[in-house]
Amino acid sequence: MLQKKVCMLGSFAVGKTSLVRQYVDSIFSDNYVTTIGVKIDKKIVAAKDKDITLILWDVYGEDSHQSVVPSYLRGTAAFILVIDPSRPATFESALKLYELALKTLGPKPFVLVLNKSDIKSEWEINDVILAKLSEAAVETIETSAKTDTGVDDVFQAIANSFSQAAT
Amino acid sequence: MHADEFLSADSPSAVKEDIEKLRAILNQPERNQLKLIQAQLDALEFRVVDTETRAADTSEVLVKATQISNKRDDQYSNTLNPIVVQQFQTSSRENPEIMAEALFPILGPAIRKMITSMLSRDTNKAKRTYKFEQLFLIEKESGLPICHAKSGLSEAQDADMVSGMLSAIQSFVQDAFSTQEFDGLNTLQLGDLSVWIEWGPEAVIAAVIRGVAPESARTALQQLLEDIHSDYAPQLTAYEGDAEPFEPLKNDFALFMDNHDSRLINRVKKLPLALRKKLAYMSIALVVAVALLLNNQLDKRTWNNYVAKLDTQSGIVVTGSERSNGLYTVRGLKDPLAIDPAVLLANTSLDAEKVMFEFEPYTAMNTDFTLKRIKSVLIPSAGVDMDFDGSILRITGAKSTSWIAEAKRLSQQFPEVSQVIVTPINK
Repeated sequence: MLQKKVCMLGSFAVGKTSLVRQYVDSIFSDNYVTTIGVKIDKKIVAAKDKDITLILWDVYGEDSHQSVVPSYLRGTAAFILVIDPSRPATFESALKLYELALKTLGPKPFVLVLNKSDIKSEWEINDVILAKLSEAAVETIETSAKTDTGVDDVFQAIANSFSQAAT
Repeated sequence: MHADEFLSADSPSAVKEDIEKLRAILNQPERNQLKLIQAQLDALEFRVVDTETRAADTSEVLVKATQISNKRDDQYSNTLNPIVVQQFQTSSRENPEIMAEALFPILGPAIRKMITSMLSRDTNKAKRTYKFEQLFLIEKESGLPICHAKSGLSEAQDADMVSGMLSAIQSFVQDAFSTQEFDGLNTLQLGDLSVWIEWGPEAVIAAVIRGVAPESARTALQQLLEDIHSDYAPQLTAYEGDAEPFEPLKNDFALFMDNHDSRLINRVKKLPLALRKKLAYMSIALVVAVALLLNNQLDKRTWNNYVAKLDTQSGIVVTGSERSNGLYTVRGLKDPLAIDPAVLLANTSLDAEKVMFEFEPYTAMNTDFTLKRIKSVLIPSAGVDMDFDGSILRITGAKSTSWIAEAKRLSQQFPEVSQVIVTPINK
């Protein structure tokens, strides 16, 4: 079966780990993310013509993008860029992380995630950055790990992007 | 007598013409020879002027010339030596990875040979118990698992995630101590359990070992990684997440773990390596053959049970079944209202894609099916019961008089129904 490495990127506490937790049955404790800076999970997703195993690298994020270890990104086939629109600063860090990924990996498909859609009233969208990132992303999806909204769609979009690339 | 006079006495011009003819006849061979020489000269000049041709000519004699020159004295090799050394240095500096990749399969054995000859004594003779429990081959860049094998009953977490974690730990150590010279974490130790990691240009091999293994086992692990790089070079370069081309490695891994199990080693050590390998391959082949045979027997029994069960279903008559080349066929007669044979198949371990159904439609004459057909025409509403004993159709619980009239009329189209008895609700 085809396997692909997928990185979760985003500022601290935007909900990356919760999104993954909502999606997979993990064998590792969440503590790994804060201790060695990364936690690995996997999920088999049915793409158009075949199943793909996504190996998810949940990379620890702080508010400074520089704390993301570039070597964790190596060999990544696609990534998920998570923003918490209720904290406008996470737009800027997402842009910086996107630029870091572009520099380290070259152009790779990614899904832009606007998380915490359950508290949409508190959202403050940075239109300029959102427009820029949405244009580059294969898809932009609103999610809530809390109410399990849109989570499956994110990983499905990633799997589809591999399926399209292969055809 | 003058030649002119002899050839012609007609006129001076005619004589001159004859002389010219004669001269031409006499000079012809020399002219031809001259033309040939000129052509050869032209060809020679072309060979000297045209660099391609000259290079081709020189190449023919270059090897021979080098051999002669080397026999004579050192002048030629002394001239070439600094140029080769300089080019080698430049190439190593500019493309160290290419050089490292090219040297990797030969460098390891060379170094080990040197160390062995330096030490010349085996320092690991102390008897220890150890066991290789798992082997991982991991793609260096992405941390994706290329191949995984575990020995016997050893417990293993999901290989995909463990591979990723090992790779992440490596990245962590590398970044935490950020040294340029660092070429990989080699050992993780946790009590009795250790993880040995060896690094190649494209892939990493990680071995989970219980107990204390001798350094000779690490040498064997390095050798295994070198062999993989040499045997699977194109597949490793082309790897993009599909591990299928590396499937045969699982056998090699299993063999390696058996060969490095101290308990087994004590038993089979005296056999020559080639024989041990052969025995191991034969055992694997035997196990596979027995497994296939058992599986085949199991499938056969499941199939026979399925056909027997199908034959007992109302509205289905099995007239024949066969099984060849792993494909199954069952044929017979089936009432459209009978159970779908595929539904029954789903409850067995048989692969639905390998089963073909060849059923001709027929009308089952037993009372159950007659009643089903009657119900499909009369369409009784909820609360209406219908019963058929082979000749009398009994309807209970019907309220609508118009439906009862219609039901009686429609029942006439069933020749099996000789009488319709409608029982009132309150009875």
